[in-house]
Amino acid sequence: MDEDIFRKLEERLGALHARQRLGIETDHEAQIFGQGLTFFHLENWISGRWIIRNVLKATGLYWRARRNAQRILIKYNEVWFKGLPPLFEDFTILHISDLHADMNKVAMKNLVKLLGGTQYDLCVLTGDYRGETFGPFQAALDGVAQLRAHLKEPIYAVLGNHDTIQMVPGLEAMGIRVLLNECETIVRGDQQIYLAGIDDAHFFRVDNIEKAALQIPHGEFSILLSHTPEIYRQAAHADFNLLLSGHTHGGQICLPGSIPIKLEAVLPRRMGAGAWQYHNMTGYTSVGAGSSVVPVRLNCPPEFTLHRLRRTVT
Amino acid sequence: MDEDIFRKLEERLGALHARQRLGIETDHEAQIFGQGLLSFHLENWYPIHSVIRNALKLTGLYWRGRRNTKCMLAKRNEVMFKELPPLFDGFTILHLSDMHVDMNEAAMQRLIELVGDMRYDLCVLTGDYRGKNFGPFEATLEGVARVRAHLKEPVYGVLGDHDTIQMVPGLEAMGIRMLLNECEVIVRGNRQIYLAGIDDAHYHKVDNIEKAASQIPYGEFSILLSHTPEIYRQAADADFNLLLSGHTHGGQICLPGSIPIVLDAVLPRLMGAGAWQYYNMAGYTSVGAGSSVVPVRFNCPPEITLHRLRSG
Repeated sequence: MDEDIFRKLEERLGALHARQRLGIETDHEAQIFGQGLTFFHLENWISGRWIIRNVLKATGLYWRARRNAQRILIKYNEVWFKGLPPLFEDFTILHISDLHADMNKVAMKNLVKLLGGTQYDLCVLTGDYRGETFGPFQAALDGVAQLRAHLKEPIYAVLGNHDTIQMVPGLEAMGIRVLLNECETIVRGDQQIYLAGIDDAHFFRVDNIEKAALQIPHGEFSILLSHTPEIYRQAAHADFNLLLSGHTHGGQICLPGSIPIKLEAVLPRRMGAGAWQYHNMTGYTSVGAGSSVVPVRLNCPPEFTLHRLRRTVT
Repeated sequence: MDEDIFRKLEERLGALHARQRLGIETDHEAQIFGQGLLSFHLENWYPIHSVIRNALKLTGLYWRGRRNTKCMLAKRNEVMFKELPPLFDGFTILHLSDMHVDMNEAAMQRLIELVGDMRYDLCVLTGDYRGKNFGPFEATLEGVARVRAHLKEPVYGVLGDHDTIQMVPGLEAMGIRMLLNECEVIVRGNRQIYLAGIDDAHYHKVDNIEKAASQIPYGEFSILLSHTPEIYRQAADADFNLLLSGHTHGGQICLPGSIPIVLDAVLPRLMGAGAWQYYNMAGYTSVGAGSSVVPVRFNCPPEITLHRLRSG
């Protein structure tokens, strides 16, 4: 590995987090059975792809499913909060997830077209920039850079289970601030909210909500970015108001009625896609803009999301 | 919940860890389908208890399985380390795990007999003191106190997925130092090693290895206590030399040849029981002194373990 990247990561994450993340990445390269929240990782099982592709071809669904993966929807999600500071009324967040940029070139082009006239105050990317969970990452960075050129600042991001932490210096050089168990303050006038983000909690399990939330004063409005929504319990009890996540792809290949066959997540099904609530925390699971394993979608179109924060007046 | 316990926990763990742990415990109480590393938790599904019990009774194995839970073995595990300070050569750790004390009274009697004459330098308890994973914990604390009376100091412990964090003040009042994402120094002469412990990583997922390891200087000899060995990757890459854990019960009900039917853990099978190695880290998964769900064991006798550290 590039010595320079390693030194930068060590400075940034602390020696321990950097060692853990890189060590687990090294172990993982091309490994099918691993130790994340799930033991079997479909995306690393090459013959799994072959089966999916050929079953779809045999049933005549393959080309339709390929086209589906390129038709991105814009979703609007309005969320109401009692604790939102008044100046943040109508604050709008553009949320893009699971780009798998190097595997979904046509979808990325469509995404750029759709983003054209979009108005927002903040952009967040919730991980999985790379198509594969291992191997080279330059094509993924190039894909993100093409999209980045069409995004308005500020842009914040977290890493997913498909991403290597070696991409961080490259992402940050493009002006994307990656939150690795860290927290930033978003200011409007004399009021502020907190935006925290954690490293991947699904496969690498190097998430540290406690560290990320350390600077947030109790009772302040706070948003957590996590690639996977599987940490919903830990996030809700750490008093986050909003959790923005992705990872599930909403199932990607679904039965009619958007019923996922497999979510690839240890999660109540209602949290598998779209808006949900857990105790006082509002959650949103984006089905993602890209697709992975085989870039096909059935009954589950790709999306990007505009979240509009609203203040409940009591 | 007792306001006094809450205040003590908040001071001890920090407000956030206390809120997370207690919040997740509250959600979990009597919940059958929970969200830990596994979405289905066998131990909360009540009909399964009677299914297992009745299947064993029908096949005539039940009472043998019950008797097996009392046939406790004292296992010895010698581990060599290049990094161990020479003064710690021969340092012996008594390792007790998964006692589920309120569900295994006869086994606990046997355990007390076994530990009576043992010689060791340090005692560690790797979680699951309570039989059930919810409900009252008074009987558990009383059972631990009876065992504790026969243990030599110092005694360190971590919590398991069956334990409520409300037990911590009670356990510490008995002189068991609980390590909740914390670290202690063990001194011998002018040399020292580090003993860290994390909160439950299996169900509650409030483990924080980074916090626990933050005081350990790079390259120093260090031991991690974790109820579940499922965090072996994170522990090895945090440069721990030894991981002591339990949780799996080695399967508890095994096929001949100690082959577990279920391990209740997302783990390579070779790490399900006994000694193993992962990169530079030595690991040991105790099959536990007690038994849970239905207190029967087959082809997987309960154990207590004496780890002897060797330098060389």
